[in-house]
Amino acid sequence: MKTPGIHCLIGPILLLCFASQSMALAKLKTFRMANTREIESLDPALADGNDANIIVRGLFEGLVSLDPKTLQPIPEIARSWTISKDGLIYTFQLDARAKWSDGEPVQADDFVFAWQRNLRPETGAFYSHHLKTVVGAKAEGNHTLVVTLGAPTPYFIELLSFPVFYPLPHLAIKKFGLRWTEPQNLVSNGPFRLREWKLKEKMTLERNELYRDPGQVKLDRVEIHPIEDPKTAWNMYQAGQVDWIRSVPPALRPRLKNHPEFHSSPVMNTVYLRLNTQGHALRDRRVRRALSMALDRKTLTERVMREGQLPAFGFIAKGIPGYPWRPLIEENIPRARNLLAEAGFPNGRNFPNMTLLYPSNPQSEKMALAISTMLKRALNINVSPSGRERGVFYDKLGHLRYDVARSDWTTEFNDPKSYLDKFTADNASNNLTGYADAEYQRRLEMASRIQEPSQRFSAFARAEQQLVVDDAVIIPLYFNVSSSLWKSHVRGLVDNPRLFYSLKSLSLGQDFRSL
Amino acid sequence: MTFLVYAFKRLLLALPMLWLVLTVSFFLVRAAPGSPLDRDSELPAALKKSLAQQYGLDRPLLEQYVSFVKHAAVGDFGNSYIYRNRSVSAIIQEAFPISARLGILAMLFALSVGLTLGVISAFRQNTWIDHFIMASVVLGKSVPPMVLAPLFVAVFSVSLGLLPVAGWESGTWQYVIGPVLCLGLYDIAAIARLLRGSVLDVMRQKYIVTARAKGLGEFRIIVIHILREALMPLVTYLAPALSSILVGTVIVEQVFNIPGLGRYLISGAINRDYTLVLGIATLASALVIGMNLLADMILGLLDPRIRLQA
Repeated sequence: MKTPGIHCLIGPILLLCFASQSMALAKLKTFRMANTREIESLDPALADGNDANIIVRGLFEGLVSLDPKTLQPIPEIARSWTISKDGLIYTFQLDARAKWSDGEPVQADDFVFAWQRNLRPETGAFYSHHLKTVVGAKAEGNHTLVVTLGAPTPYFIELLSFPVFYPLPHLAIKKFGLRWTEPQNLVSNGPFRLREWKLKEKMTLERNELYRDPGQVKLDRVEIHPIEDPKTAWNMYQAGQVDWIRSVPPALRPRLKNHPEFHSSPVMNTVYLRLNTQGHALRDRRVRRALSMALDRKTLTERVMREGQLPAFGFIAKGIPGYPWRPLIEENIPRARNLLAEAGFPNGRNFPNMTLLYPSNPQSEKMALAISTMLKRALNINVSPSGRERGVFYDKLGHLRYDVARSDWTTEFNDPKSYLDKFTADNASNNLTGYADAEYQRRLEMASRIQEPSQRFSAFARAEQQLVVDDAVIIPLYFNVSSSLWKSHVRGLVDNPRLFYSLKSLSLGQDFRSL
Repeated sequence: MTFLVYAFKRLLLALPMLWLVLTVSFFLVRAAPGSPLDRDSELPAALKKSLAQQYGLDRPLLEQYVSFVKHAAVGDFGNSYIYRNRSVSAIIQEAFPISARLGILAMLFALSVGLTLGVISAFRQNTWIDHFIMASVVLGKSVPPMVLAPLFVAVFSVSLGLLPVAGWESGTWQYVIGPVLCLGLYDIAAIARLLRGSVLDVMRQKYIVTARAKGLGEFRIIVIHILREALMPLVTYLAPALSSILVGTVIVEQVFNIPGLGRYLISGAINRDYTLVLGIATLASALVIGMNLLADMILGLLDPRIRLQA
C-alpha cells in the first residue's frame, strides 16, 4: 500500500536533481560516448584498438592524421613534407605553434625521443614493428625532422598517423616513468587534455587551451564511459546518458535497421577461417581448396549473419584505392567434391572428423553452425563447431591445436601488405597456420620492392591469389559491417571502413540539450 | 584471559588458511589455458617474448609462485598486466571502496527489511500475513540478480525514467538506489526466514513464558527478551554474506556499469590478468576468513560456552 506514496515523492525529487544538474552543464558542450571497454593505457605507444585510439587521438597528435571521410593523410604537426626521389628520405616541416599542455614547445627532438623509446623492447609498444620501417630520424633545428627509411614504403605517410609515431613529452616521461599517464602527470599536445580518469567509470577530456589550432576544436568536453555490456550501453543510449555507442547488441541490430540514428557500413575487417596446414588431411591443399569452394557465402551473409555483411571471395577488403580487387574464390560444389576425391576422400569417405574452433560468442556460433552444415551437405564431411572461452581459444590457436579456426583481421594500414604479410613463414606469431611457403614469401618480397603503384599492386594481387586460391591457407568468409548509434545532434561523425574517428572534427548541433 | 587465548588460537588458524587459499588460487589461475599476452590483435613474436620477460612469465612456475607469495605477504601484487601503468594495489584501492559501499548499503537495506519481515512473520505465525511474507521473500530470492537487475533497469530507468540507467558518478545517490535494491533483495529472504525460525524458537522458551506471566509489556518482551537471543544465528549468517557482497557482485556491477571489483574480476579473468585476479582473490579470501574470524569472536564474546569448547 505504501508504494504509490513513495513513487509520488521520488519522481519529483529526482526530476529536480536532474534539472539542477542540467542547468549547470547547459553552457558546456559535452559529448558523451560509450567505449566498449576500459582502455589499457593513455600512453600512445601502449594504446591498442579502436577504444584507445579514439581517446589517444583526442589527447595527442602526430605528424599527420587521416581524414575521417576520405581516409587520406592530412597534415597535423607536419605542415608540409618533401620526399626524396628514391623514396627513402622524408623531410618534415613542423608547425611552430605546437605546444605541450605544460607550455613547452613540441619540437623535432620529441619525435626522435619517442621513436627511440617506443622501439626499445622494455617499452613493449604494440605497434613497434611499424617503427622498423625507419632506419634513421634526426632533428635539424627545432622544427625540421628528417626521416630515413630502409626501403621505399608507399604507405609511410599513412603509417605516421599511428599513435606509436606520435611525439612524446620526454621531460614528463623522465620525471614520472610509468606513472606519466596518470591524470595529475599527463602532458599532451592534442586538441583535448585529460581532466579526470576514474578507471572503469568515466574519463573526462576538456578543450586544450594551448592547442596549436584552437579554432578547430568545437567541443568543450568529452566524456568517455567504458561499458563492457552492450545491453547496458544501449540502455544508457536510450535514456540519453550517452550520445554515441559503438557496440549495438547483435540481437537488436536487425530491429534497428530503420532507426534514423542507427548507422551501419562495411568495414575493412575480414572474417575468415584459418586452416591448420600441418593437420592430417588439411596438409593436402586440394582438401583445403575443396572446403573453401564448398561454402555458400551469400547464404551465410544474407540468411545467417543478416547484418549487411558482404561475402568475401578474397582476403583483402574493398577500399584500397588502385588495388585490382576482384572475386578470387570460385564456389563450385561439384569441383570441390572432385578435389576431395582426388585427395583420397571420395564422397567424404575416410575423412577424419574435424572441429571448427571459435571463441564463444553468439555471432561466431551462428557462423560455425552454418559452415558445419554447409560442409556436411556439400562434401559429406564432419566439421563440428567447438566454441571455447577466449583464453582457451587463443591457446589452441597459438599451439596449432586445431583443424579449422575462426579468425578475423582488420587492416592496420591501407595496403595489401598489411593483410598478406601475416602468412609469411617468419611471421609465426601472426601466421598460426603452419604455412611456410618460399614462393609466397618471394612473391611478397618482390612486390614490396616495386615502386610503380599499379605493378606493385598486381604483384600483391598474385600473392593474394596464391594465399586464398592456389594454396587455400585461409578461407575468407565475409567482410564485416560496423554498427553504431549516434544522436541526431552530433555533427561531424562519419562512418568509414577503417573506423577511424577523430574527436576534433565533432561538434554538437542546435538541437543539443544536455541531460 | 580465556577470550584472548581463544582469539589468538583462531588467528593462528586463519593465517595458514589464507596461505592455502592463495596457493590454490595461484595454481588454478595459472592452470587456465591462454596467457595475458593473447590479444585480439596478435602480437609480434619478439614483443611477446620481451613482455613475457618483463612480467617474469618466462621463469619456472615455482619460482614465480615463491615470488608471488613473498610479495603478496606485504600486499604488493605488482602492476596489472593489462592496465600496464597501474599497480594492482592502486586499482583495488580505487575499486574496493565502491564495491564495499554498495555492499554495506545493500546489507543494511536487507537487514532492515529482512528483520522486520522475519519478526512480523514469527508473531503472526500461520496467519495469511505470515504466508504472504514468506511466499514473497522466497519469490524474491528465486529471482536472481541477472534477471532482477535488467528488469529493474527496464522498468524504473528506461520506461519510467525515474533513475539513471547505469553509471556511478562518484556514488551520487540516484546511481546507488538501483544496485543497492537489486543486491539487497537477495539477502532479505534469507534473513527473514532465518529470523522467523529463531524467533519462533525463542518464543517457546520457558523464560519468555515467565516474562509474560510477570506481566511485562509485549514490546519489552520482543525487543529485550526475544530479539536479543534470536539474533545470534544471524551473526553466523552475516559474516560470510557480508564478505561476499563486499568484494563486488559481478552481475549487478556489469548491468549498472559500476567500477567495482566485480567488473575487474571478470575482465581480469577473461584477459588472464594474473596479477589483478590474484590481487582480488587475496582480498576476497582475506575478507571471508577475517569476517568468519570476527563472527567467531563475537559469538565467543556473546556465548562463553563456544570459547570453552574451542
